[in-house]
Amino acid sequence: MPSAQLFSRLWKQGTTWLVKPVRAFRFARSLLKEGGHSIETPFTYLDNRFLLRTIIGFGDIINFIPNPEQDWCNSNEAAEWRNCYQTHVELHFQKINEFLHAFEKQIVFWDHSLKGMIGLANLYPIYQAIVMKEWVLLFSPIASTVYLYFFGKITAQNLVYGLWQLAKRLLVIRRKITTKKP
Amino acid sequence: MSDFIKNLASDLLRLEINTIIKQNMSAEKMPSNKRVLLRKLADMYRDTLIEYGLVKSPNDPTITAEDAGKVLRWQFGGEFSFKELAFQAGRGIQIIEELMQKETDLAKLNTLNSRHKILQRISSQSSNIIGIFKLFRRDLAPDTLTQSNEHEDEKKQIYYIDKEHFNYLRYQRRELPISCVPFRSHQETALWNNDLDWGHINSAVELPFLPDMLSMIYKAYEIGTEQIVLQTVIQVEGDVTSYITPQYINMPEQIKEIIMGVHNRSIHTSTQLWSTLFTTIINLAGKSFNQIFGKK
Repeated sequence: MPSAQLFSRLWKQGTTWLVKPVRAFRFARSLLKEGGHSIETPFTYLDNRFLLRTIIGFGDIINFIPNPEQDWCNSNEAAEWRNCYQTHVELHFQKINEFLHAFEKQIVFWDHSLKGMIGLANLYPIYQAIVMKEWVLLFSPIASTVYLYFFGKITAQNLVYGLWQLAKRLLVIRRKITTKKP
Repeated sequence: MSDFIKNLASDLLRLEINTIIKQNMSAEKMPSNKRVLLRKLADMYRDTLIEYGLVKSPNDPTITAEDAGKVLRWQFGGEFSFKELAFQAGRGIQIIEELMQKETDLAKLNTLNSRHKILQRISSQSSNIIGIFKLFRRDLAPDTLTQSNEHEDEKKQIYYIDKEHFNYLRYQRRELPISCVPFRSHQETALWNNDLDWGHINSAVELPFLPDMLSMIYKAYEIGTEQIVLQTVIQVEGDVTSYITPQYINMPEQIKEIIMGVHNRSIHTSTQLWSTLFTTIINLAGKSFNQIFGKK
């Protein structure tokens, strides 16, 4: 059914979109809660449990590794143990890379969010333009969209801010004029 | 929040990669109660000082009157406990420096050197934690702050002596001086402090830790008193410094290779992360962002 398909597609797009802020939120929460995001790779060797752990924080990375030099290793077991150790190191860094990849995706999300904020900031001049019937104020959202497209978001933000201030001043002037007694 | 963003941005000016060999890797998870966390951190530091032979636990039955000044009187995780730890670690640093000057055996010198570093860590982390409690006291109990604060605290100590401890009986029998008797749980300062025993910790109110304070405490807890085997510090100006410990140098070649492999891969991945974080901060803290959301 087309409506069911549409709903399913919408649901899928919605959940995919939601995963990004949720990931970002989880990363921020673990940074605040534990001082960094911890990635762990546990493994066992001859009934002994080991753990490779990396804490990724802002500005520092701490690796906690089990001692590769084990007393209980004889010469034959040593090579096997080192192999096992190396395999899990590989696995551990694979996890870290996956995390970083996900993190980079979050950056894209934040980037889009900033653009979204410009959109939100534009709501105010649009509202003012309608309420005050100062149609010139519509120049702000239009201009910011054009600027966003051609010159990037920082310039657009500056422009929106400038026009926002202008709109506020115009509002004050208008209020002064309308409240003046004849 | 603005302080947090500022600290975060300044943290990014320097990238530090540490590789630590942790013996007890199946260790329990970090406690969620911050008071418990501080208590466990203090316990960790106390155990290390005892292991180095610098201090004695008040519960040690071999304590004699000659041990006065070496007995840890605070058994908790608050300002007074960390003050005692900072003091004893400082004393330990002096003793070790004197020993290092006399020592000629390289292996023993290396051990002394690594102990010296751990003691420096205990001293600096304890001082940081004392600073946090001082801030809490200023904000939560400013009426208890006076100019002669330190002396008043010392005078009051007599009231906080643990009269149920067996050393108190020995003190009464004149076998031990008062400086060998530990202090009891300091419930009177629970509002801003954490010198509490396990029973009082659970019923005490949460302390208002800020994110950067928590980050510091968590890191101190995670690293504990483990020795950092390899450390690389990359400054935003482009300076790269690597510290290699004698412990690493004395390892067999194959083991060194494994550890260096882990460290190198960390450097690679963390520089990647660093650049991503930098881009984010620049994007988020751009001039216009400040104009829109910060200034008026």
